[in-house]
Amino acid sequence: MLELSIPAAGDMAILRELPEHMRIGLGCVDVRFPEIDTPEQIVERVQKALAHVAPERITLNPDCGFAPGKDHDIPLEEAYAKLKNEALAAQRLRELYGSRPSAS
Amino acid sequence: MTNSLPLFSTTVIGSMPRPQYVKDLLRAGSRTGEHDALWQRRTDDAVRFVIGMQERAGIDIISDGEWRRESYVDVIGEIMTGFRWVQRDQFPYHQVVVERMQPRRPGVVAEEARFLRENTDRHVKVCLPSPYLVGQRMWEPAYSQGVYTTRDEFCEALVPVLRAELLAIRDVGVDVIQLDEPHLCVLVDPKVRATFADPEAEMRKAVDWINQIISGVRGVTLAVHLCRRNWGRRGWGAAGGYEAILSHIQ
Repeated sequence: MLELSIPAAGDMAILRELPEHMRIGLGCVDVRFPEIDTPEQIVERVQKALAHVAPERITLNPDCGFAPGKDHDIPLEEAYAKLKNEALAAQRLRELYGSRPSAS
Repeated sequence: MTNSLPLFSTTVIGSMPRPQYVKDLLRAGSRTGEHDALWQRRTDDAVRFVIGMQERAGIDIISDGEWRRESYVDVIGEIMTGFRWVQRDQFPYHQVVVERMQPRRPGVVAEEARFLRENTDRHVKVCLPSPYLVGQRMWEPAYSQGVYTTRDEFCEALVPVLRAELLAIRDVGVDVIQLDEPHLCVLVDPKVRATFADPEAEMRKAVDWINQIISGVRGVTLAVHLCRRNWGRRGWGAAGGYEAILSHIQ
């Protein structure tokens, strides 16, 4: 599960180097800042990854937990809004790339 | 088990923000040990809430928000005894190992997992900290050297504990178990690497201990979470691409 939404995470081209049998948890939703990533922004991030890996290998997730420690002061509503947009982004990606179930 | 996942399945990393009510429940529970029936019901109901929230948001693989935990690292202190809060400058929000670990509630995380499994039809995931991470946060020379002479010795003692817990979680029937290892990731940062005599050796240790925990484990999807520290609004603690980790991945 790799965070990739922040600039400090480097270039997504690195994903190409991961062994083929590994699925990638693509960190495509920010967890630190109050701006709510739109579904379109999330789709764009995933599409950058799709330049390097096949759709079947990707799971969408936020960069990190929203509150690794209990006193992390991120509003719950913010997390909920981000998760809703993550799900909408996934729906959009299925429309774009076909919704055949992934091999499990 | 549950239905197969769609293309572009969605998940969370694990922790969800805790409302003040949940923080108050945690304070009452773990510090005073007041796990009475009413506390239990309230905590269970709170976890049902965060399960429902993730389902309603449309997430495919959900967690329990880690709402039974004060921290994703200190959960080791629920499984084993030997940890205490001390005054220190670095990592003041983690306990420190001060006695040889003894079993406290082995299987406690598997019980968290069981509740999650029984309260949703979605795919579920459960997280555990990695030995290297726990060693970085919870071994402090001034307090720990007397019981585990080196940090590495402490990490090695954690391996069988975490493996046993992982197997118990697997046996509950969860879909994904994630090992959290941000330190493997912060070791990509040149500034962080400069603070270690042999950063490659540090990465090897982190990876080896994870491999020892998961070796031969079947019947569950295993994941490793890497990030550069999550300091909320203050941003992140390290920077760098994943290149340095690549040579350690099998």
